[in-house]
Amino acid sequence: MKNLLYIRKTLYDEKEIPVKLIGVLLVVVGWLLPILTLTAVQSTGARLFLSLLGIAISLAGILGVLNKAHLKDAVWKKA
Amino acid sequence: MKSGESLKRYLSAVAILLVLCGLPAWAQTAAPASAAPAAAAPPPAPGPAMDVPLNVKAAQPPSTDDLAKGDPGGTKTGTVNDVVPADATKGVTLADAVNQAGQNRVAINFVWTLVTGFLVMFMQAGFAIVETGLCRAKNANHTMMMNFMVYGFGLFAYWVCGFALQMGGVAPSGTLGGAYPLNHEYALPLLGKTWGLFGMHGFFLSGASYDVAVMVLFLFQMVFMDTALTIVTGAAAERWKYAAFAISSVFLGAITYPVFANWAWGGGWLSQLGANFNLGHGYCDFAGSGVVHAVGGMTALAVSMIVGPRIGKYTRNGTPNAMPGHDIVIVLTGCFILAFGWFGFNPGSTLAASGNGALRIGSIAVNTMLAGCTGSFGALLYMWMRYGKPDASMTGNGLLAGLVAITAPSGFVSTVGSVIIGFVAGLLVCVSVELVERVLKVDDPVGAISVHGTNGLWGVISVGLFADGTSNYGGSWNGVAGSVTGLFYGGGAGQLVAQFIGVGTLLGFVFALSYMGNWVIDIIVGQRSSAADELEGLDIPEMGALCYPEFVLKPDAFGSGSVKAA
Repeated sequence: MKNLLYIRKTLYDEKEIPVKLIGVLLVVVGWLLPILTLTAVQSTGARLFLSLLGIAISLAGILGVLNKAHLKDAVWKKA
Repeated sequence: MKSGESLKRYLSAVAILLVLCGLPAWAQTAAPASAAPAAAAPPPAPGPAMDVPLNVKAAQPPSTDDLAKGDPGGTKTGTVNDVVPADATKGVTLADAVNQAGQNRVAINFVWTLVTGFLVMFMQAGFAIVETGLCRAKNANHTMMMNFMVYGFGLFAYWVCGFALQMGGVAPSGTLGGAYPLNHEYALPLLGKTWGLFGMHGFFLSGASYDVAVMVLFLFQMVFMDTALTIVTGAAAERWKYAAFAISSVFLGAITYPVFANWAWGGGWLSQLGANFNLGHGYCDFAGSGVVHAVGGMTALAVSMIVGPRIGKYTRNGTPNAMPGHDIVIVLTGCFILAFGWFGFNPGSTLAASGNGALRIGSIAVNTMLAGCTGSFGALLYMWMRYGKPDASMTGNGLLAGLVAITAPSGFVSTVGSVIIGFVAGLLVCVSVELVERVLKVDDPVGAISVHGTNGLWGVISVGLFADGTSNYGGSWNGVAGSVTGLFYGGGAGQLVAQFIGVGTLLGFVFALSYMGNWVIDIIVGQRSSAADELEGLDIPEMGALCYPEFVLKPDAFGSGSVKAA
């Protein structure tokens, strides 16, 4: 019961859940992009571009979306 | 009448023809062993009989009287006298000698793999004191206990299922005599290829996995996995709830690490990018810049983001405060222990000292040494030029960054390549620490995200640039013939693309899985200790005892303590 209350309280406190889910989705999309195009794209140059693009998308998801969502309610902003 | 006779003659002729044609055919079908061999193929030359006793006197073994006089020069010990015959009454045969040679090769590889695994295990001590020294004294017991028990949590989870998921389909492992029980990889058919996802044999090391080669492989792989786990404890130190740490470590050791390690080392899809999609030799990570260090670094980033910065790390406008560690002596001693252990990490990853190009262990050890050295140069120069002093903790981190970066390419590059890779790593770790702390505002007390995450990724990429095409581990790597060759040595961009896809997988899969897993743990048990506990220091609230009970902890500007002699 105590645990359930804790879970409800934690989820209630999480105002950034949709943003965080979008961030995770972006991270995964960046990973899958170069992999799912491996069969369609044969050129090494194009594969290189797609793999770099995928890394950029994943980094944007981690640093640009997820980290920003966490910084919104950072402990030092409440002090 | 005439027609009847002609019919008889006709039938007789057919019968004779059938007999003439059919008999040899019937004879060959019924008794092939007795049939004469085809004239075109000459019989193979008879080899020496394997079961005939050898004339051992021709080898001039020392007599018992000779041996009784002692062997100070070491020339009489280890001769034909030491070959054990299968049948003592018969004496030593050629079969005995050949079997002994095979067992000796596997024995050398077993001993090499085990001893290097023991060295890697000792790195846990190095990590423990580096991390503890970089934390404040009021959290020393807590930090040590995380590093101590991560070994047990990780080992148990890996024995239950981690090892099977990682290596359950890796057989045959030629250098260790096969490890044949590990022969089932779950693979998904997709886009016209099969994608190995995880192993299926070896759970609890039971059944057919109760095998000597499997045990050696388990020990070596387990200590690698535990290295990845202990990276996270540094990044989340001083505010990580112990219960959350325990669950998070089990999750990493049981699921996240083994799955990525299977893709890279267990015969999974990343390792097959070369064979399936003509991308060099597929993802190549000799000793684990990506598999071990970047997996630990990505998880450290995810956990650090979730637990948030320590109280007092940032002012209200986001400017970072320096929170120096309490013991630089144990930090640098720990770095030396880690550098020593790395001689197990990289050269041991051949899983052999005999056969299959394993004598490259000398080159691998020297590459490891040099990259660590230039890593410390890079960090020292950066800090000296930027801040006017050669900072001790960052120089230590520079050494570790060089070692992390050379881990993936150590088996494929020359000494010049390793010097460059290490030096770049030393600079990169300083830049990355500043970026993580000042721009991203992610609090990482020991610099684990930069040392292991950033430089783990750099190490993976550097294989695609610096691999010099001279390595020969049995003539192929990841099922592609020839040596791993990077862009700077004429290998084209294919290998580099494979490495980038590995980097993308570390960011996109490992980070995402670690983040989701630790988010769920945060929701269920909470990742962060209470503010009161954090301000007091986690030693008493979490562990029930101070690390330094005879010292007085004096509150500082953050409501925290520094150690003064009582």
